[in-house]
Amino acid sequence: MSADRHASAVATRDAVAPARPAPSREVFLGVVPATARLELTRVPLLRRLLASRWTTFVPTTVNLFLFAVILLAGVLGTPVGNANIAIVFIWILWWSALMLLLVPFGSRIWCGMCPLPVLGEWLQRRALVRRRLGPPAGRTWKWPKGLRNMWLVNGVFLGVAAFSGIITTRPWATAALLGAIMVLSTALFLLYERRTFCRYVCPVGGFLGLYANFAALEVRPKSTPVCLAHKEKECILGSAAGYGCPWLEQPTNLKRNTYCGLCFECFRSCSKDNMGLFLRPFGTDLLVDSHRGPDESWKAFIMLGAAAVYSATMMGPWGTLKDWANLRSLGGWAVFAGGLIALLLVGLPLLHGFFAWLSWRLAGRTVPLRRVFVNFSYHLVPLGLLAWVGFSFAILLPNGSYILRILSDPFGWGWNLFGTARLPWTPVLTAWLPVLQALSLLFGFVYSLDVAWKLARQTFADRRQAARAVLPQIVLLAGLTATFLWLFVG
Amino acid sequence: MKKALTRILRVPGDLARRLPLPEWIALAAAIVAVALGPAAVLGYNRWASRDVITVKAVQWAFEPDTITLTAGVPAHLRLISEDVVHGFAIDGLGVEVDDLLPGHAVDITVIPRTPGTYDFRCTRYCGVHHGLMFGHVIVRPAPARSP
Repeated sequence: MSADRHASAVATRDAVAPARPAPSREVFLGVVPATARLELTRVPLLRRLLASRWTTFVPTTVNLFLFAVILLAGVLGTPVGNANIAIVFIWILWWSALMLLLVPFGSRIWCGMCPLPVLGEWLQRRALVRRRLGPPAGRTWKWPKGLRNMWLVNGVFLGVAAFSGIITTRPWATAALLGAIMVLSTALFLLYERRTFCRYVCPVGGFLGLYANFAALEVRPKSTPVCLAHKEKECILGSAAGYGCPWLEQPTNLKRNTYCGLCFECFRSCSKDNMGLFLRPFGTDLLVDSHRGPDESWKAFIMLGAAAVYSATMMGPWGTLKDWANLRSLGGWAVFAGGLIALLLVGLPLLHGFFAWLSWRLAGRTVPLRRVFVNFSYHLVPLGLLAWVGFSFAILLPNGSYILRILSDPFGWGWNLFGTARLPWTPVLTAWLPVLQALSLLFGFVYSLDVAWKLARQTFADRRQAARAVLPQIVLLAGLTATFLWLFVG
Repeated sequence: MKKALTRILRVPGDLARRLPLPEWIALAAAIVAVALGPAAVLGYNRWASRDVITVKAVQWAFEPDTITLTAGVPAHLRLISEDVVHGFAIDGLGVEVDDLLPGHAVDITVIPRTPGTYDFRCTRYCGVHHGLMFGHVIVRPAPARSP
């Protein structure tokens, strides 16, 4: 076997344990069995495409070019946000695409074509496309054990969120953020093994990871027995055709999408052709009762709270709040940033904690409160993601026409490359915006209720206990949904 | 392709032999993405605006605030507002642009006939120091043609 032997201890741990799928009897919304799968890689063309090393390289390099243009536009282009590609492509096009399409239907597929860490990865591998054998460049340190969770990611995300008013409106700030991420990621790729940066530091990766558990796409082994019998573990250690999992996962034993970056490296390294790409019901991984933790609970609180705060700040009628977020005065910004962090780190967790405590009491305190708290936090994922979907509709529909203009004049320099630079600002389907937002929330609410009930039955052995425990969660979800409805259409 | 690249990049012979052709193609694509692409963007901008005088309007100044033209020679001005709605007029040359919307470049052509100094100014109230937003157009006589 010509595999590199620099695989991480993290990657080899539990490598031979069988995959534990979602409970087989669960049925989402009473219609779709949790075990339903459609293997997309049965299509030979797709199978060949995913096994090709160019499938990662080409989109990543195209995005790298766009990224370079965006950096340039941030520094040299017009400071007018809606006339600069840095703002329009990142915060209107990319963000909306991420929330409306890529995450719900593609899991972390963005991570597989993200240009931010790619320079670091190329340097680390000392190769661009080919599988280069031998030790990687750099130090290949292991990430500290205490940081192998989402806490750091949560902190970095909050730090960025505090400056969201500036970052999402000023091209220079967007360029500075992306440039800083690229420099940091390149440095960490040269210090730490594989995609440590993407897994434990990237502020985008955290919420992509959590919401990927809701996604309708997964990479999993086609057959667990084949993996168990295959002692070489090429997907972990690497083979002549592919690197060991860059995400420090054990593809043989993937239970959740959280840390699967859809780089398809395991498709290349596996000589048994045993990896598959599957369509599946939404929310499947939320029912997987392992690897859950408070770091992910807090990620759920942070993302749900951030959706509410951004909706209030960017679309609400409160001018003072906008001024605070926009750093019109240092004192005002301090109030905004302090309030945001307090709400997301303390306020929402306290609210959730109160309802978890009620559930725990009503169910007769038969399981530890911590388990109730953590487990029930996962039913916030469908509502949180669908709240972001509603928010993204409100970004895309009124502002989407800027994308066509920007294609012709990305820097606001007066170009007209494709004849679209003079197109007037044209809101699209905005009359339907409240309906789309309400429907998104309704879907999120119903799905969250469904997941809450399944989590209750998973947490409490007795069905009646579960029924009592889920009641406060229904109240909580209804309250949160009503709050978002008020923010969106009220 | 590989030979051309190795020659351009002056890659040592042993490295050139070790790297397969697809990797060279990938390297070329990466170089285009990171360096040549952005350089082409800047080059195109320089070429596209070779005969254009760009005038930026910001609260509360024009940049540049002095434009030098030649009598009888058409001049292409690109007017760009970088913050709020401004206006633009050159008194005596018949130029008046009602609205300079932020981020919308407005291209105009001026053919000054008579040498002299003309004033240009913002024609939309754009804030407390709107009255200070003005500049000058200096029109020089056309150089005399040699017989």
